[in-house]
Amino acid sequence: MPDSRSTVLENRDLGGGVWLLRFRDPTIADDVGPGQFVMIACSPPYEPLLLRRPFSIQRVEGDVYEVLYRDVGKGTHRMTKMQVGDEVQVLGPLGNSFTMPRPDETAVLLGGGVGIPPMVALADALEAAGHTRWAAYVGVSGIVDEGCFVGFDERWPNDDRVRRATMDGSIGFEGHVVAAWLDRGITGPTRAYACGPMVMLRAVADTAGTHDVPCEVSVETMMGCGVGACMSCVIENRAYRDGDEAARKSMSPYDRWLLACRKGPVFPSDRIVLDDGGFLH
Amino acid sequence: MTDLSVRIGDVVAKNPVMLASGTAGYGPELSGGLDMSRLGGFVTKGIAVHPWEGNAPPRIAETPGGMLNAIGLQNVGLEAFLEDKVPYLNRMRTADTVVAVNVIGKTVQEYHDVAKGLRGCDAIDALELNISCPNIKEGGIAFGTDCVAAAEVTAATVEGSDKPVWVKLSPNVADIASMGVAVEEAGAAALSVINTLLGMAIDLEKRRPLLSLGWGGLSGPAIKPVALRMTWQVSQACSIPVLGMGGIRSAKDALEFMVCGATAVQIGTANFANPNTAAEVVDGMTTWCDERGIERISEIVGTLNA
Repeated sequence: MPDSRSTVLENRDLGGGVWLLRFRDPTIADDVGPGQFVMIACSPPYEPLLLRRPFSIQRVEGDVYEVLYRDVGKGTHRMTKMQVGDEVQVLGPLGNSFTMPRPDETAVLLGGGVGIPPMVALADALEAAGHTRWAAYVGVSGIVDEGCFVGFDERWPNDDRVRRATMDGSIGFEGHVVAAWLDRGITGPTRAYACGPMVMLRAVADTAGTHDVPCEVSVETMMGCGVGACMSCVIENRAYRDGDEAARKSMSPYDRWLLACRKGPVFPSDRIVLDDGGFLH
Repeated sequence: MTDLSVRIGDVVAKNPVMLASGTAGYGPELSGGLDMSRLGGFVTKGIAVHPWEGNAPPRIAETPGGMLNAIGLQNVGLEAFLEDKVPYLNRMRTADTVVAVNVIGKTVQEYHDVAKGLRGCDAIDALELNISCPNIKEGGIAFGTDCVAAAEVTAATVEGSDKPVWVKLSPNVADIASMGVAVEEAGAAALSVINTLLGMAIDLEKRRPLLSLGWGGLSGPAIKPVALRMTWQVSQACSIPVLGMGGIRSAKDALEFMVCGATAVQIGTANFANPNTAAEVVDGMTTWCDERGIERISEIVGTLNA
């Protein structure tokens, strides 16, 4: 987990406020698992303090890695100003990774908006491991933010395993990613993976639960440090919330809130409460 | 080469730069981005006698020049601390880094119990009391906002402990110097100045607070002028050493606190922006002193012309 200086190779405006940022940095690109993230410093250190921002790593090739981000606030807006050749302070790779499927399982990858990148990373990892039995369902709202598809578009432009969905039907399947998944049906041993808005993760987890499909989700929370020091990025432990008095008593109160940066960002979907109180998005 | 060592009562630190409680976990968390052996000292995340669950998220919000936090002192509790966290702290001590454990509680008795539970623990050089916790016996008013309660909790901890007790003062008071005097008289060995300032940030469109708790503690460069003023006032009023903190992110910041009376400094929020800040501060201090022919950094403590 070194703190490193990554050099900007490309900072591409994909439209709809979605940007692709590619860095060269052998230190970080050296050993990245699918689902891991980096903490990017959005401002030079001489400016008033600004916390770093967490982003999932979408792709790694050699000593180059890339992240997808949406211009939604002060930090990400500053990132849109990063120029080719700039050196940026980046901490990573951080967090855990998705569990690989058993050889007989179909891996179902569900990604929504800027939650698509870890699914690209996972598809890459599956291919690298020779596990070709996977299907991806990726969704955005419409033409406006179709840039979020860039990872799959560049890697698997015409692959039946990738199904694109839009809420307005402007591209691919009309509807959300879970509907697209169910439209194709769930057959045989399956393992699901998802990243996207909480409302989508809840729908994925519910569907997976109904069909007895093991499921892992990557969550986005407000992070301060990314390494477990500030203890800001918590998500609620389902066993603690739903457990009866006896179950609760057997647990430490410390374990009610799990650190997304250290215990996650990938969790089994039935382990956590998929609710952010509407604070994000 | 300048002698950077400083003396905080009976505790000698190889340099005056420490990490502040709650910004570096129990040690290993920051070790990927910082060589922990460079530190003069390290203060752990607060420890209570029993585990605390902390607050619901969101727990942080970024604000101009700083951040608000309302973590709620989530911690593993004394027992798990001794079992799981102390081995790493031992390693730090081997590297000659001073280790202080931040102590929290909801009653005077709880502070006393933690102090007692840490007796004989060789990995620890000192305790640091966080007296900004709500006193549940007094309707949740923080111990640190009342001279009598602050003195009482200090005396009870000193009585339970075999280690020097530092007390971290709250800035959310009318007269911080009198708080310092009160806890010094109760047996404190040093004073950490300051804890966070209470603040609030809201989402205008949703008309609700950005933190689940409503408000939280403000830290970062935004609070440095307040912290500097309080460091100066407390060091003028008290005779025990002061550890200065609040918005430090450079050697220059740290040296300003020392000139205002701090024997040592702690770095907090800056660790989040740059985990290597403390090492950079140590390097910057060395250069600054060398350039000015200062033989011992302790010479500059309290030398403000005012």
